[in-house]
Amino acid sequence: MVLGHNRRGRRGSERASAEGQPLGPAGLRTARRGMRIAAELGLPLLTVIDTAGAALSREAEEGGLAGEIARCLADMVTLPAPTLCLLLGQGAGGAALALLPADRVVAARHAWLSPLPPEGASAILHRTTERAYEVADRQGVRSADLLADGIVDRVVEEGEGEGEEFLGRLGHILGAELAALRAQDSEERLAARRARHRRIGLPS
Amino acid sequence: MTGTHPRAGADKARKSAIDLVETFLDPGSRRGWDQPVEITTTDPDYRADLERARERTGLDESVITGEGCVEGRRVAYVACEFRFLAGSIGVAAGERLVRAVERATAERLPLLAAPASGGTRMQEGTVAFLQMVKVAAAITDHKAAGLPYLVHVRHPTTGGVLASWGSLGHVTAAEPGALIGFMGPRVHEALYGEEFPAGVQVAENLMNHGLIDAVLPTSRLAEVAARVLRVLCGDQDVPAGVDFRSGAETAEAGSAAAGRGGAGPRRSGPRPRSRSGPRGGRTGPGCGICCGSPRRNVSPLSGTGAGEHDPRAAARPRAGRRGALCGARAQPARAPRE
Repeated sequence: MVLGHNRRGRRGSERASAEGQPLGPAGLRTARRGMRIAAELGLPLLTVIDTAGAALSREAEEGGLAGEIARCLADMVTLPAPTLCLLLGQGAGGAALALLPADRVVAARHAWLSPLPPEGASAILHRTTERAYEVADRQGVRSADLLADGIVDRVVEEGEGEGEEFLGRLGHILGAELAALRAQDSEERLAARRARHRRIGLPS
Repeated sequence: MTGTHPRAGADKARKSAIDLVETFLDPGSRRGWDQPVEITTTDPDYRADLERARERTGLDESVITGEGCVEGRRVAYVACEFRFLAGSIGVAAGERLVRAVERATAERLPLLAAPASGGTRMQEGTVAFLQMVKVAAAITDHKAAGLPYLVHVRHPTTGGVLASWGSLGHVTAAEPGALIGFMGPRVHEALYGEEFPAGVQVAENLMNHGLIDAVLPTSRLAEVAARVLRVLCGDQDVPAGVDFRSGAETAEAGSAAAGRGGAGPRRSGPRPRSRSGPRGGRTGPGCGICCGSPRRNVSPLSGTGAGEHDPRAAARPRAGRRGALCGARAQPARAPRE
């Protein structure tokens, strides 16, 4: 089962891809449907994060966007099936976080994860968007930071203009990760998932 | 996230977290659970922010946790102190929250949460952001253990807190006029250069969209919490004299409890409504909680909690039924439906 942020505004061939962009409550409910199917059928779940952020509109608020993110977090962290998250590109805010809690997380080298896009964080902290790079630096948003902080388990290098070759390598890595997860005893795997999220930020 | 918001001037009038919690706990019953937290950051600006917040609030972090009693029933609480860096959640606050939730689960206590927060502690970045996952996990475990989780969303609650433990309550109330939204309006303005439309991210509007069960002033919290817990804790409240096995009733039970007439299984005739007792009680339609209707143990829920609602017929006056938990009309008065 694959769930991914669909950046192109049209359905991809993956089952249950989140609706166009930006991500709204219905897209997250689609994701949760995918999670339920994975849970019911014992299928491994792969989530792919690449989003500039959630929809910010009256409809999104009145449609319960925040609540859908909360329910995704709850569903993901308790999902009995093996789960693998690929942080592929942009990981902005709750729309990204909603697909993150997994047994293992793999990130592309240039991917990032942040509560707000760095420009937004810069605006909050310094009242200008100009300090985005500096804020990104200090906020631990980049793949190397995420690896050091135990948020990501593995970083996949992206060379310049690699395209197909990168995807091939990535597919191989994801396949290996999923195989390893399936081979694990499920009680141990679920306990490890909880422990991993429980200790993020605590001194090791 | 620190900063101004439309009701910044109300800060002086804002209740402290401790005072807020004291309003719904039995007097003298509160016991804090919080372990002291040290400042560990090497960032001098952040250290200064923390020291100022400590001095200002007398607390060492943005959340308080503990236990108390509601109508004699032992409960756990977690609450945000908005005056401490806008109630923002970092690693220390997240850890304090999770430990309290885990303890509530272990001791089998209903959990009452009172968030008021701008979301993630921006100074701590992505690691703080991830705290939302462990808090959501702990809450989920608590509910999975068959324990109630009640939320009272205060002004303002935005961002990561709303997108995690703020939105997972079995029953959710909110403060009148509270700003409640996924994206804080100031953040929206900073990113998009325009104001978010007014009247959307406010408690009453969200109640009308089925996201919140009731808008409750602080003065009603103790009483409503007590009633809701009576239902959610599954207190046995069997009407006197009814023998469920035979379906027969003694003379004392009569029609008082459930509006039935006569003995034996009922196959025809008027049936009690699913919320039995005359609609309206003593003071008005539709509210089983605060209007003192005869059924003290009814906890009406509003909407799906997830923002969906059935299509409405066009151009009909709507009853204030959505405000079922409090009976208060969230909008200018409309004609009651029945």
